[in-house]
Amino acid sequence: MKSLPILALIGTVMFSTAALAQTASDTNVEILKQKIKADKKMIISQNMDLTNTEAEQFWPIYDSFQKDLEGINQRMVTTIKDYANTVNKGPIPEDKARKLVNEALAEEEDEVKMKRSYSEKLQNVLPPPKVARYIQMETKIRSLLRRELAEQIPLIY
Amino acid sequence: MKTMGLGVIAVSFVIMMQGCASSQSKGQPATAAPPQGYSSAQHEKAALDDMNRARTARAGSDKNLEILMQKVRADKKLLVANNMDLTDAESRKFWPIYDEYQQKLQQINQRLGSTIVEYAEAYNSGPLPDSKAEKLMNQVLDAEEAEVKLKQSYAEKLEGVIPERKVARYIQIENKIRAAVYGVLAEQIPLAY
Repeated sequence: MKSLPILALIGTVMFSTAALAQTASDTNVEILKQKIKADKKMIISQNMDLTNTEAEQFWPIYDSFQKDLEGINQRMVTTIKDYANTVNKGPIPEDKARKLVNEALAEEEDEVKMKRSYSEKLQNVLPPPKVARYIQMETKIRSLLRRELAEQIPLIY
Repeated sequence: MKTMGLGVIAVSFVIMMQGCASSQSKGQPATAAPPQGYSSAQHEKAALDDMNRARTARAGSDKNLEILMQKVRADKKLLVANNMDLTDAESRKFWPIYDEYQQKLQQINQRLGSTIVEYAEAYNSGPLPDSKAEKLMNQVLDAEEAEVKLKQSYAEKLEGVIPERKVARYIQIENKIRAAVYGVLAEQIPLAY
């Protein structure tokens, strides 16, 4: 598969930028986001070998999935920001720690469920090996992103 | 986090898992390890090489595998212990729940392991049949969902017995380790064709 690490790196930068460097202008963040979206779409497109008929049915479902994933990303950014703000103020209060754990777990659960529901939608329009391949790519990209986040975010104390 | 080479744990884990899964498929022809990202032109030769390598690897005794599994479990436990700063009272309550959780995670690992072996066998014998692709994908999605639910249920169990911020820290550590494992798996397993 082509150029995944670069994409993941950009993804991480996007997250750190959005979550921590609030001074960055909205325009720059927006441009970066567009770039990431385009890069991801290109990687998927290069690896899917879709026929024209398949492509017509695949891309609208893909776009809708990306929009829903974007919603999860936004929730993750909010949780990370919330965590960063709390950590900077000293020891984490008990109710805040609980809230952060629950949010992080809920985001993860929603993402897994979303992936299943989109894989079912895709099964109606693509041969199963291509659905499996797409889910593999999506899982790779998301797991790189999650691994970066897990590495970058310090343990709670 | 006091580092102890998450990557090493992840890699041993993957080896262990493949070992586990292949020892379950006794009586079948040699099980190949999942090949790594071939172009279709190289596919056939590379797959053969892989099968030969796997045959050699399977000659490794079950005893070695058992030792490796013990080592991975002990390393992980030490990593968690070093980072948790538990009081004696907290320890008494935390570790039994931790051990139970690891046992359930182990069942998910074994499910993933057999799925990976099934995929490797199918991958090496030509284009993936539709029914097989659908079955394997659903198995992976099931395992992922089961793991998230398991994590939620154990976070709840821990919330009753240790302070919230320590629950949060433990879940962070668990996430880091699992993310490293899944990262290695995603890199090693080739795309379906």
